[in-house]
Amino acid sequence: MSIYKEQNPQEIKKASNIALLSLLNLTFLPGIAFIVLMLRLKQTSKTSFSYYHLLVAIKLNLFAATALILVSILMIFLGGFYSAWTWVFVITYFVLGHSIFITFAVWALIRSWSGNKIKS
Amino acid sequence: MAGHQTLKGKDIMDTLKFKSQIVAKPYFIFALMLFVGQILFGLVMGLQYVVGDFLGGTVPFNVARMVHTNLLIVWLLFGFMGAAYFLVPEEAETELYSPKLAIVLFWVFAAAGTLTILGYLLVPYSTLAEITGNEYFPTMGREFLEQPTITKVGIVIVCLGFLFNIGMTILRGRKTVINMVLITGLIGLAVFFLFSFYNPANIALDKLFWWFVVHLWVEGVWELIMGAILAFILIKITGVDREIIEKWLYVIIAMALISGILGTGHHFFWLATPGYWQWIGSVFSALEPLPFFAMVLYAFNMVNNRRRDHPNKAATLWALGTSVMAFLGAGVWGFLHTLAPVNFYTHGTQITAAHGHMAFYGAYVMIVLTIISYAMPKLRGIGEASSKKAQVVEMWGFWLMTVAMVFITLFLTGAGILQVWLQRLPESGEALSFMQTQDELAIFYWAREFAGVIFMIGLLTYLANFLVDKKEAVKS
Repeated sequence: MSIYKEQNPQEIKKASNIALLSLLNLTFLPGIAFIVLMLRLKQTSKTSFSYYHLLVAIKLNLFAATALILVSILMIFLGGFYSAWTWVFVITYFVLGHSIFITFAVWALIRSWSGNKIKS
Repeated sequence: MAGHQTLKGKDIMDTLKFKSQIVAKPYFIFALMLFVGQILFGLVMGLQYVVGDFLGGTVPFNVARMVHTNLLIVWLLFGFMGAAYFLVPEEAETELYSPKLAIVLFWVFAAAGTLTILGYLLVPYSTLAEITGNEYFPTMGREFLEQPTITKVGIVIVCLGFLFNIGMTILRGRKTVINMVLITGLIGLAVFFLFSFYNPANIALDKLFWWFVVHLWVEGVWELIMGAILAFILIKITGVDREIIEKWLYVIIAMALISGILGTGHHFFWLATPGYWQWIGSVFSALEPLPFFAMVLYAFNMVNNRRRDHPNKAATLWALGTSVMAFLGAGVWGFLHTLAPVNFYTHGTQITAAHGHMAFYGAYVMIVLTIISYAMPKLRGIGEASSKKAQVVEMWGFWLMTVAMVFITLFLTGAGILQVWLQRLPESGEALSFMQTQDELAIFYWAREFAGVIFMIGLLTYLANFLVDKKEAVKS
């Protein structure tokens, strides 16, 4: 159930914006949205609800970058750029992995809207 | 019919708001029967990819494919009709205009559908065309629209009777956004089917108008039907205010129509159409994931903010599952090959098949199973929800089918990428022929067949949930 009323509306708004930036970094504004997220680190109180979502967003995006970019590069490096099988694995893996990260970012956004942590 | 079907002191009206809703039950049951047939022929065809002469003399590949796709369309139509007969009276707060007409149309549609499938299986397609008089009004021979002309006429008659029944019910009752969106989608479904009667001799023109049926159904008006059914279910299982859900529905259908109508252009890339279609098709179809993305946000948000804990957990799972799988299958896998420069290499490969499988399952199979999951306990007189045990079995069915479909999609995607690499990318005569390429893809086809068997096991598990509460069900 929602615990919407328990959080400060301003904190919910901040957390929602952070979760939205996280989603944007995974979709339309890769890199740019992440820089904005990093800039928020200094502006956000460490004990606040929005800081919790900021940490989730940064961890999620760092993990996504590692899983999607580094692992894909590693697969290409090990499999060879001109191998069909490399691209079979890289494209399939990237599309599925990317979708899973986007779905998780959507869930984080919804939880922030309702003033919840990821696990309540 | 409904009314006073009692067993062990229970009455069907204990669980239904309007007794005429009971007409949805045969539609749902027949839909599930056809679903089993669809998967069975899918397995036959899947095996024929790797064992070419499997049942070759009895069920040739082209026939298995036709039966597989036609059964899908027909059972989804039965599901949509059942959904409408169940939810429209409840939304309109009045009995169905004519339950008798609904039952008559059920038998007409079921008989026409069964005879058509038997025709596909028992006589050569050319003979079927001959005995049904195709020469007088030729409409046969195009994929998904293989039905004899007389069957197509039957579908139109059934649709008109169905729309009349639903329309009259809405007219005399409460007009809600859900009812309006649903009937708009259903009218669109009927109207766009009329293009199946237009069969120009020019093959490019033929394909162009063929897409008016196929694309504007699944990436247009069917999304309205899906949105309306999902909205109805979310209101019921979450208790969230109707106004909030309706606002989301408006946004979703607006996005679906804005992106979907001009998104038809992604089928015009290679049909001898002017070059600007490559831009229009690419831009607007790139927007097509948005309504599905919004559906994920919407479904999860409503369930997260729910005001009641509905006992039907299985229906909630289906509702969430359909939004995610539709986003993946229709949205992400559609986007994967929708831009013209990519589609130049990928069109008509197994990447299309990967997209088609997950999109149809996620968006339309799962939404029909969502409403069946919600409605069946009521239609069977069990109550708000099936027993916990039945729901556990149903949820096993959900996970087996859904995970199997994810793997089917992944294997077909892998096959498609390899196909592009071997058959489409090489230049200067180095490309493999179609059949040589198919041999190279055998490993993926075996893996897909295995995942298909798991899907079938999931479907049978899902169906077994109806047996768990057999004793509690009121006979009707």
